[in-house]
Amino acid sequence: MISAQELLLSLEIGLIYGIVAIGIYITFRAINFPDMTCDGSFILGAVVSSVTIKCGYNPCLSIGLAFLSGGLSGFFTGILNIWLKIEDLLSGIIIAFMLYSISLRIMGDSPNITFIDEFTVFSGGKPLCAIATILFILVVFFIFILNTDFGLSLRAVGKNKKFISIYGASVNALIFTGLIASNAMIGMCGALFTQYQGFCDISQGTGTLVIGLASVIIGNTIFSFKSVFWSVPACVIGSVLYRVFMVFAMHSDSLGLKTQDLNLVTGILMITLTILRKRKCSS
Amino acid sequence: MLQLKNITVRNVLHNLNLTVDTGDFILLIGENGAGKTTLFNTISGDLIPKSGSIIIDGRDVTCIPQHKRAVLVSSVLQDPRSGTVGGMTLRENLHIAYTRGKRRHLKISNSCLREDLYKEKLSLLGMNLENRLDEYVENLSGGQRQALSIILSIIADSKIILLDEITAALDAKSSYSIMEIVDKTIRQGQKTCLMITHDISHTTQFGDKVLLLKKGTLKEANPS
Repeated sequence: MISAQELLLSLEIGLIYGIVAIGIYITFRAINFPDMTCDGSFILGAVVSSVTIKCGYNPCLSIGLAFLSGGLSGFFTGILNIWLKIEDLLSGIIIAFMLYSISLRIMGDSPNITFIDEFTVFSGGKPLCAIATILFILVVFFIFILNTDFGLSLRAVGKNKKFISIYGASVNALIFTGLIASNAMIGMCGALFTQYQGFCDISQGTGTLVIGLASVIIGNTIFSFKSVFWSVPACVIGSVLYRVFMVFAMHSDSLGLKTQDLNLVTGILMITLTILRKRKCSS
Repeated sequence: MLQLKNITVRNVLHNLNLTVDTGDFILLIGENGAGKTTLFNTISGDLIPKSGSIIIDGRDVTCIPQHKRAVLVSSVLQDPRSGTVGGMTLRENLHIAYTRGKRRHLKISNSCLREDLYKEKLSLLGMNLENRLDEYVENLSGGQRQALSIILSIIADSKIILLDEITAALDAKSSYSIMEIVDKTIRQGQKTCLMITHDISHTTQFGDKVLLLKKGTLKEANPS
């Protein structure tokens, strides 16, 4: 039997990971760049935030620094891909790989940091309100940005690079912007997640990409809107639904699933939804 | 005025020279593989020539990339899918085209002035597209998409218009009305236009001059 506490927990974590889903939406859907940096930028954001808090600085400042560090990760992925002409997939993988070592360095060679007693943005006692407020601001901000003259070009670059170049926008600059914005968001999500948990572990970033992608796929399959006005919030709803689905899957005794089956279930869910989405599109 | 001086591109164009005066409407013909599209790509900035220079109104633009040259040169591609964004609405496509050569600000793109302009331009096509601004471009037919891409190319001011077989996807009636719009726009706006065509009827009805591109070099052709 699933308790209300478990559902609340999955709602909170789902909302936090909604930020990752928005980030993934920017790279995978808007600029059409298969960015693998996210696992690295998530943990880097988490590590930067944990170390900043542990050193006694303001938790909001730590989120800002995590945001910047994530953005910097995206910037370097852009450098590799656009300036050094390394393939998009490979440039993300290389940066994520390097970020693991950098994160460990920042952590002082310890694989985890605990700061349960430190002051965080969730110390007020109402994490759901804090997360919902942050997310609401971000969703409104991104809907606005993606509907501006600049945002339209950002969305168009993923659909037709030739078109956007003919109409006077720099494809490279737009891809750079998309990568920086996406990874900055993911870095910030890492900071929020680690503050929510009260500890940081070097393995926290593993699977961020898959979870984010699953959220975007769920959101955009259930709410198949083409308009940005709906597809950005749909990613967040997808993230919450993903968490709730996982809770239900792990509690279904009849299926005999265990915690270690999480990745298997996620994979099956993604395959099913992708097939459904393709069928929906073709019909 | 557009001037090409000793342009050499790959093994396609060899020391090509061309001068087109402001307001001229030039039709370009030639066999497949003659280098017509390569010439257009070179003028638009998609290809950088191996040697030679491209001068527009006295300004050397040879090394200026395509997105920066877009303020001077607008292009309509042969494939209507390349000249429009299928996953976006007509209005969004028009917004992007309208901001060609301008700074793209963080400002919501909806003003009544723009809307009226879009409707006015689309109504020229006679395809009822002015009442379908919120429709996704991927839902339009190939001909409608091509007609839209022509409107996109003229919605913002530019000195040179390059048209690459723009009527290939259109029926005879639409083809003629599109050509009339193009002709009118060039005459009214004093624009310089180069158009690739395989339709021999265009050479007798439209344009000031017909040029034949053969083995990487240009020479004047007699339409008759």
